[in-house]
Amino acid sequence: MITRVFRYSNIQARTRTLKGKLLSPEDWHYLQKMRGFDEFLRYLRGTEYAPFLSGFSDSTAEAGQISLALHNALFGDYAKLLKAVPEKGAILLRGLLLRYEAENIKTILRGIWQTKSDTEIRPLLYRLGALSRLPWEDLLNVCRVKDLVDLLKPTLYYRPLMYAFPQFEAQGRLFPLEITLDMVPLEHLAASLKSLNGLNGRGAKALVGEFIDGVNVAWLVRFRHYYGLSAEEAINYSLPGGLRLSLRDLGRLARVSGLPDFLEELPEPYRMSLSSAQRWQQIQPLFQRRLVDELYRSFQGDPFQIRLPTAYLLLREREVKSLESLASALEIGESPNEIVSLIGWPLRGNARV
Amino acid sequence: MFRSEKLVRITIGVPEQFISAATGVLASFRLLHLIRIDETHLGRLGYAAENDGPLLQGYQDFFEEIESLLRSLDLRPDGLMTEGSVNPEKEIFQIRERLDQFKLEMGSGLSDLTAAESEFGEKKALLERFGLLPEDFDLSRLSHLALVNWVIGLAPSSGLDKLEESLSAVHHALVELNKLEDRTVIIVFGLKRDWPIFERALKGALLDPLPIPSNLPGTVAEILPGLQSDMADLEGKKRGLNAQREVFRDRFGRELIWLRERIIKIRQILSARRLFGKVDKSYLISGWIPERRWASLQGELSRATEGQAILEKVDPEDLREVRQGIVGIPILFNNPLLVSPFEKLTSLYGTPHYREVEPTVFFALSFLVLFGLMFGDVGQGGVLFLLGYLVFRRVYRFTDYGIILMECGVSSMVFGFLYGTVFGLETILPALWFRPLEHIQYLVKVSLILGTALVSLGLALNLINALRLKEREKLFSGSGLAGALLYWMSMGLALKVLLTGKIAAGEWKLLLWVAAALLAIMILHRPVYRLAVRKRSPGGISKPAGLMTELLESIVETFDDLLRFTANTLSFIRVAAFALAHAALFIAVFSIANVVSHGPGRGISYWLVVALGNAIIILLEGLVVSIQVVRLEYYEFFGKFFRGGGKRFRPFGGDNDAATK
Repeated sequence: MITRVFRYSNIQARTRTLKGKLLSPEDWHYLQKMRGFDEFLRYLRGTEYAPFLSGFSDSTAEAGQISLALHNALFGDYAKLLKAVPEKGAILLRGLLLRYEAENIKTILRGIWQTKSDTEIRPLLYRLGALSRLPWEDLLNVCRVKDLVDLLKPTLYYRPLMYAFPQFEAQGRLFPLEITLDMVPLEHLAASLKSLNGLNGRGAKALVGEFIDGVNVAWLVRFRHYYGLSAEEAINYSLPGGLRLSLRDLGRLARVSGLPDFLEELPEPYRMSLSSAQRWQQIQPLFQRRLVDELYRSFQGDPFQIRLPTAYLLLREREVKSLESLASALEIGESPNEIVSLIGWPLRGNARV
Repeated sequence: MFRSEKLVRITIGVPEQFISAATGVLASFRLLHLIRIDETHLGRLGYAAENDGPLLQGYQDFFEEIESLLRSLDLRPDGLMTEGSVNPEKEIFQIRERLDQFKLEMGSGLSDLTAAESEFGEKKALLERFGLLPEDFDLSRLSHLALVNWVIGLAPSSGLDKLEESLSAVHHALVELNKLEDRTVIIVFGLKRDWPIFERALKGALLDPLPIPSNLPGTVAEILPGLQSDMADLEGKKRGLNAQREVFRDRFGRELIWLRERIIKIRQILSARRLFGKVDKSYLISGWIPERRWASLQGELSRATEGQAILEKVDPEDLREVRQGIVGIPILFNNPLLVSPFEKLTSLYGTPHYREVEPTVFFALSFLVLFGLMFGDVGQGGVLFLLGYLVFRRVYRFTDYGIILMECGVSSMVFGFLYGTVFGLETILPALWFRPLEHIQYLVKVSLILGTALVSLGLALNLINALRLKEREKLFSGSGLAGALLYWMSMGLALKVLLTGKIAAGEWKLLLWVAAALLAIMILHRPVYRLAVRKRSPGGISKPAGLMTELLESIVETFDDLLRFTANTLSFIRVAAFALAHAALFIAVFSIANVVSHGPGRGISYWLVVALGNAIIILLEGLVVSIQVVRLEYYEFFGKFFRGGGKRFRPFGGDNDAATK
């Protein structure tokens, strides 16, 4: 216990300082009332995100670029916390960060598939900088999918991608490689929890477990009801390491066809949190709001554990993703009020609760 | 040496008729880092040149044809140099004619050989697939099933429970037959009427089906001898054809390799053109070169273009894009031969920014000292040197690592002399310095002094970097000059206590006062700086936080920085620990040898154990010590000053050329 306090006293102070910089309920109140994309951008320039938006002019900025710029704030926090966190905890944070590395690889893959040049692909990548050691320049310069996979040989992506390669060739589409890239970091994340033990491990497992449950539910809904994949296929794309949803539960959820049955199959307390869903599109944001509440709760218990920085980074991620959704809605002329129900941040009435 | 090579940005204007000659010169020059013209103002104005796509594709086709011929002749390209001017537009016809001639002369001999090899390869693959199945597995019994379908394949082992779950709604049987790394060979049975469900589930499980013919009669054990006999027949046939291959190889091999290299060079030149700009009938080439090579490039280009190339040189400081940080200057390492192999290890951590200190020399020297301290032994150092030499001479790809290994060997030998140990035997040589196991405290002191020196060097380099990168505000931070002064003062006093065992009251008082002043500067500098900037230019600071928040943040950061200094220095105790472990392992080896041979130095078994123990120490401890040294360098040393974020110099015409990729 004492060693844990010593190890995590600095990181918990840092994390709390960073948490203080998250957008306030007042900020969310005004962000919901924005009338246009330029207003949204102007408002963010008065927040902690300002340094990341300095290169954009109101007239030419696009939501996609803004989203990447907002993510730079998240990566900055990763860099700060990774420097301070003990090595075992850092494995977990790096596991979370791998998702963005995998996203970048997916973007390059799509670029290669659509025969785009590296100059077209480069602006679409998350700017991970020193947080990633992958040979990005080399990856950007390959022309064939196989060459890209070969370049990843020394990394944890290589073997799973090689195993997915026969299906990629058989199906003639990127999906098997893309889903593999989605799964690798999250499987690695679940595996990285094994290095943590005691209270530290239990706290992290509960948090990451709930996060993985959320991803599994979101993927099931997306694969089954948006993409029209079969239940058999969707089950195979589920992730291990969930907190309350076992593989058997996920199998049952994949096989139901209607939303009421789906909600009925969910274990408590997820059923309660998602009970207000009227459409499939609401499942993911409702789950994310539940997760945000859980993440805030992490700050109430014993702070000397890796759960705290993990919760903060996931909170910051949700904030950035919610801003991303708002930016996209405003860019196409939607009113933020109309899409509030689809945003994964607990906005109720005029402020976050 | 302590900073990367000074580069200048050049722009070359070349008339269209000389572009091949000029590109050839630049490719041979091998010290030009090309800049995409579309990243410059000319590119944005639309003056970008285009590739001659069909011509490039033509060369690509011939390249693949030559590669296929070389494979058939079992020849490995050995990097034959091709000299002379290049004219891509004309040479493609010469290459086509030569290739047609080769194929005519080789006739059907080569295609027979290729067909035999292909058949051999297929049989071999089939044999390997059968090798994955149990010996009593009878495939022919599966070919007559009327209502049941089956499939054999490889699936990731971690996904088998998901596959089971996805099939749980239908009748099925999933049998694990074998393991191959982290995949499992499985056979899945299901009713034919349910088979679409199986196909979907197996697709999701990323099953890689094994194409195994089910019409072969008997069990796997019965089929295998037949396949092996077929392969033996094919082997005989191949031997006959191989003699003919030898003749072809002697006649055409060298010219084919030459043509291949020629095509690579031409492709580089053609591909590079997409980075060029074009205005009317002139090409524009932009890039970075070392300043000291400017005159020689001017001369070579002038000769190749009959004086019609126009060259312009600009210092990076005069470029607005560089000053504003829009365009980065690449890094060209500039280290002596014995240090340059360590650039690979520096690059693994990151590429230095153009203006910051290039730390490879410090890295190399400290690496060798730390390695020697932890692994000092004349005999084992000699073995490492020989291993390094072997790698250097035999394994072309790892030449750099061979040199590092040789240098580590020398360092280990030097410290071996200082410790007086040869393969762990301490009776042969006198210790020129001390024996680690007899002076443990002294060794710990040496490690700490070394750690202090390295951390101090890191802090000093950080100050230089802060000045070079104009980060003046950071000088007052915990990781800047203020922190460094406090660290040096504390370490000076600690050293005095370590050496003399006492400290004067006045010195102690002075330390406290100065420490208090420096701490105040470290904590207050940021809030004060931000306040000053805010007053000077409102909006210059993004979302100003409250004074208390900024103060709190500053306090946390300062104490974090100071704690790090202590942790970084103490981390060097591991140097002493590993040096002791190295010596202690020898004791273990000699003790085992004594037990095995019932007395020291008796019989062959004694020396066998000693030799085996030494081999294990070299392999295992050598690896562990290397990892520890790299860890100390990266975390305790580089972590103090290294900014990174630079990009590597990629010479046009070199192995790492961006233009051809």
